[in-house]
Amino acid sequence: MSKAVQRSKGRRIVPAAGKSVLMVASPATVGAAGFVIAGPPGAAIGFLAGFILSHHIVKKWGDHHESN
Amino acid sequence: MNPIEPKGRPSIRDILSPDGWRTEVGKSGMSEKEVAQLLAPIPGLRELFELSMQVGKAVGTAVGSKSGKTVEKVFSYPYPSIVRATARALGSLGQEITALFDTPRGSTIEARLPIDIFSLGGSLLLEIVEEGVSEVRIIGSSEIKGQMFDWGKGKLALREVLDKIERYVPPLSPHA
Repeated sequence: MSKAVQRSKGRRIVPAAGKSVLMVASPATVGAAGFVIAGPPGAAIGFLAGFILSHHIVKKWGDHHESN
Repeated sequence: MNPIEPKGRPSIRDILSPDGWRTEVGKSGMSEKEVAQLLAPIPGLRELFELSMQVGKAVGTAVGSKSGKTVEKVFSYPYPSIVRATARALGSLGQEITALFDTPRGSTIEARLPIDIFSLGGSLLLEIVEEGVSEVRIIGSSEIKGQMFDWGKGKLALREVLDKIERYVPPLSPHA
């Protein structure tokens, strides 16, 4: 099944590079937002939250991909 | 002589010159790298964490976010004793004096708040107001730019300075 067909059926394969970008960009972004609110401790909390969030999203994508 | 200096009140620089206030300042605080090392101890993640701190600081400063506290206290001691005690208290706490000048009501001292785990530094502004012959009010305010919540760092720093002044001023006072 082509990617175009999968997209038309509401499914989307996420490339590995996209997952890597998400794993790096999400902690950095959420960490930066945390810093604006509460400085270095806020950045640490945001950083951790970003990792958990991105890991969760990547896992969801993987599960979705496997189920299709 | 400073044009705004009222007759009878000595200039803050004249009061502090015998103490050599610049040499009293000690080194304290942490570097940004040490803060990142403490909060993100895993190598590899540390660089990314440092990057997020830098981005957060830049964004916070750009949008004008800051945290600040104000504390006031009245002392029943002569003005010169309070000024000397304030400079010594700041030096003792490792808060580097960055500016001092006379004002129409007294003087103002600005000091740097060092970098620590709670913030990447800030400033303390201590306004010393002569209200009577032996009555001086200190209005202290803290400002930390780039973050909205300072985890009580500003208030704690101001309280520490005021407590130190209270301890330092009796021996410096002529009628002690």
